[in-house]
Amino acid sequence: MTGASDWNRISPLSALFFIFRLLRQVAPQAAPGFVALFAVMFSSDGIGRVLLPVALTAIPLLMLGFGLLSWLRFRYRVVTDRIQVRQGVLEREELDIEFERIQNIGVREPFYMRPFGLAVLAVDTAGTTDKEIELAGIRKTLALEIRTRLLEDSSVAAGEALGDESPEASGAPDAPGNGAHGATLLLELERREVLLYGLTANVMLWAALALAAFFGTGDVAESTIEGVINHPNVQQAALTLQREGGAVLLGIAVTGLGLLVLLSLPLISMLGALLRFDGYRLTLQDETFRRNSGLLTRHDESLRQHKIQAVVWKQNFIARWLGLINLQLRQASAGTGADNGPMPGKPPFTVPSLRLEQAHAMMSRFLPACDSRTARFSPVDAGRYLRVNLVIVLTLFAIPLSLPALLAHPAWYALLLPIGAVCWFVLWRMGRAFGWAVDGEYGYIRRGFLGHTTTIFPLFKVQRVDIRQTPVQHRKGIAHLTVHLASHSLTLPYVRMEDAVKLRDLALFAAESSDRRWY
Amino acid sequence: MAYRLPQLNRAKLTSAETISGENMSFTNILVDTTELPRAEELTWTRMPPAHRKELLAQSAIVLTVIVIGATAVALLFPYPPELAWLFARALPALMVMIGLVTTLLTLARIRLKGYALRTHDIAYRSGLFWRKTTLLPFNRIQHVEVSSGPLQRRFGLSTLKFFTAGGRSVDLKIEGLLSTDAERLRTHILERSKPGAESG
Repeated sequence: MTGASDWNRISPLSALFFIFRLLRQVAPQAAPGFVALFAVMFSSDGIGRVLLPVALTAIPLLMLGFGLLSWLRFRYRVVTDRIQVRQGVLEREELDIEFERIQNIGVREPFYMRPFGLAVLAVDTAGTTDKEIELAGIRKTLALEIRTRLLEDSSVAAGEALGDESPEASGAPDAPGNGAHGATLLLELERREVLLYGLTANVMLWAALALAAFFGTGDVAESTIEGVINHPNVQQAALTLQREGGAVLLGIAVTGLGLLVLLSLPLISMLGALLRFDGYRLTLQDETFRRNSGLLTRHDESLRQHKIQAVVWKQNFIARWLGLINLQLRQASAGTGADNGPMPGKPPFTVPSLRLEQAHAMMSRFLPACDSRTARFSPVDAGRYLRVNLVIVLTLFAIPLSLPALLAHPAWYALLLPIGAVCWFVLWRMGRAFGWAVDGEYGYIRRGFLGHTTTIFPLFKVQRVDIRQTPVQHRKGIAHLTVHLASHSLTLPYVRMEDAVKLRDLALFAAESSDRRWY
Repeated sequence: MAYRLPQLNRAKLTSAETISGENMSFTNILVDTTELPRAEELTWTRMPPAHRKELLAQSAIVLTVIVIGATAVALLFPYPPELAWLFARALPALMVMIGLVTTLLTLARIRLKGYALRTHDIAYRSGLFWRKTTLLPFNRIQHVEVSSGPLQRRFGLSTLKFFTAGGRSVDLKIEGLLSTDAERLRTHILERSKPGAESG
């Protein structure tokens, strides 16, 4: 390690890192502005013609300047019990983080740093403040050394060193660079399983596909192709085209493109899974879970067991069909307290593509003494949920339908029948999926539609509980229960009041009678 | 119901300790759910009368602004004479109606508002249509804030805000407490929210 008290620089390559980080932060807010800017620039009047080349050279130059300045201004040092950073382009900032306040240490190797043996060390203090330090472009060996040092100085989350360089080759439970204690290998995923995760991770893409079929995008493309096959005479086809004109061509192009995009969605999702989770290894050492994965950028994420606020057990209908379960470990979200604006949440710690027995076994690792097999769920009042929501939805549809029904023909109201049928099915499934259970010191709250999402949380980590009801619900003994965790909130609608009160009192009792650290 | 600052009535409220008996670790206690302290059996403290005055003053101000605006429109807007009934009669009547209804709703809402302090948590209920009861354990509170707006200051009132982890905004807000009570509540609750605070 370099000297203990002098300030160190990072690699110039970090300029790239700063530019990417800036883009990531600015792009969502700046996008509309850029659109407007480009609209002005590409308009053919004088201003546009001057602005375009100026902007095209100025923006990249500014960004390059920002990156270089960020690099020039960046200094860090590691002294006995703390890590200090000086940074900032316009205003100088000095961050000072004591080792013992550090929650997580991550080492990742972005693809543009990997060839040079450089890495990014991210030090996270989420929970106490939002301070986060990222040392970009330091040698990987140095990053590992710093982490080991932080580890020795405190009980910070960290364990074994970075995984093997080639993901396929890492078969041994103990990766090179391992510390004194051995880490237990909990899970290793093959590429096939990672790809399956890509299919089960996102229900929305399947919804998009279903919707496409529903709206007939698929049909049009199909019949077009059929038409081409049935009339192999090119001349005939050309004649038809000549007759029908460009409209048909445009239609074919549009539907074809739409179909292509839709069909590529699962592929994109699988590619995303591959980028993020290729060579997935989950290890456990000293109560610290560590995930190591990534195709181009290697992610090394660690999480201490007692920091887990909740585990989300996800199984959508594709996953159900494949017999797979995805687990997510939730930590306290960074936006703690009033002073902080909404923070972009970190992606949850994901443990993908588990078979049922594997998932149960993992659960007892993540939440000690949690036996997810034995939880017995109590239902909510699904009938009332269905009736009330169906009335609301149908009323919402009936109001716009009244216009054509009154002006043209009352038959328009018949449209309510298919709409009602679809809504009935959805609400019936959703109402039945809601459920809750208490097993040992853990609470379970389940929701879903075709699949299920169950959140399992230690009762004593509950932050606050709300019970809401309308006067009518009060008479019927029904309420909505919301359990607020440090990671997220869970709502159980149409639960029997006595159940809501029981669950609330149990959680409060657990929270108030425990002096264990919840964070 | 007369307004009073809640005293911790230990005879009435069961604390968590009486359930767990000795200072046992929580992990292995078998909990009989019928024995749990029930948050339903609370004695609620209502808001002080000054809060009602404050909210009435608030709606009076809002109404005045609306009436002035409406009068300005009625005087300056060149409406045709055949629409005179709309601008001169119906609109003002509607305004007064809306004002009356919102005032009545406000009064009804205040009647349902209340809080209760227990040894280990604070309960707050509010809402007219959606009746909401929030329970917040003291040992989950991150920080407490007391604020008071210009109108509140006039009536000697404050708002007490509680923040817990994970929430991105206020987790519990009690509006319309007497400033002295708000201060005392804050001190009391902060004392309780310290880790390891015993419930003597």
